[in-house]
Amino acid sequence: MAMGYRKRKLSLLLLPELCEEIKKASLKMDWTEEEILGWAIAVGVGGIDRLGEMEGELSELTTRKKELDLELESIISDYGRLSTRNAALRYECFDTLTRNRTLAIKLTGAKTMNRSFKNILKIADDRNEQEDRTDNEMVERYVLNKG
Amino acid sequence: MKRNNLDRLKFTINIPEDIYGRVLNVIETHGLEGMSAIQNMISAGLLRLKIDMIKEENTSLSSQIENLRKETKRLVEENSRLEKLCIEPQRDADYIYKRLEVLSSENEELEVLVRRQSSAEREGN
Repeated sequence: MAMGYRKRKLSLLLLPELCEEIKKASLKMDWTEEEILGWAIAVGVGGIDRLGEMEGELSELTTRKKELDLELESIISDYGRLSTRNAALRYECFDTLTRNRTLAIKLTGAKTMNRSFKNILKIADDRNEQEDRTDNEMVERYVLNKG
Repeated sequence: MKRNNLDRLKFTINIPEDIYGRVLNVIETHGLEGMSAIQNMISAGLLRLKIDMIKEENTSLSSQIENLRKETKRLVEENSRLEKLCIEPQRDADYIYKRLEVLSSENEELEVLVRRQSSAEREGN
């Protein structure tokens, strides 16, 4: 049988603190405590001389994690603020466009009524061409959706 | 896992023979008491596990931050576009509203005149 396939039984008496660590890792990784222990020995057998170095690495990574957590928290807050503003702007645009459509329809009606009254009264309809053009633009933009 | 009377917990695990050999070798070369060497090995293994997990967490955090940064940038641009987009319709709304006020007031006066004219015509008849 090839080496590595044969297994040897190892019985260990462990300190409660170490057991606690194993338990935590087992819960986090969803492995059994024995699996964690086997894995820790297999990995740790080569790392016994690098404990100090690894502690330093862990400390650096923990500091970096704290920084990233803070950065994420800040960016989530910015994102929330911008999303709220985005929703408000979308609503504002939609609301203004809908209101302009109603106003432009009313403008058409008011102008027709105005012409009709002047017609009845035989009053000359002195049109302001610039104003007339702008009125038509409003109707085209908001009622006929051409703008 | 069994609890013994010294408040230590007993584990029995099966490990590959090559690892077993290395464990024995470490105990011999380090001249540590057997259990102490094994505890150190386990500590080193658990430390490596923590390092790997925190590395993964940091990678995931960096990726989340990167994605949110992109999304935030997109929102800043879109909001700026929407702000510009709202300005013109708002200006138009002000114009139409004023025009409606003028026309409505003129129409009220004209309506009075039309009524007067109609009633004069009826009286004439």
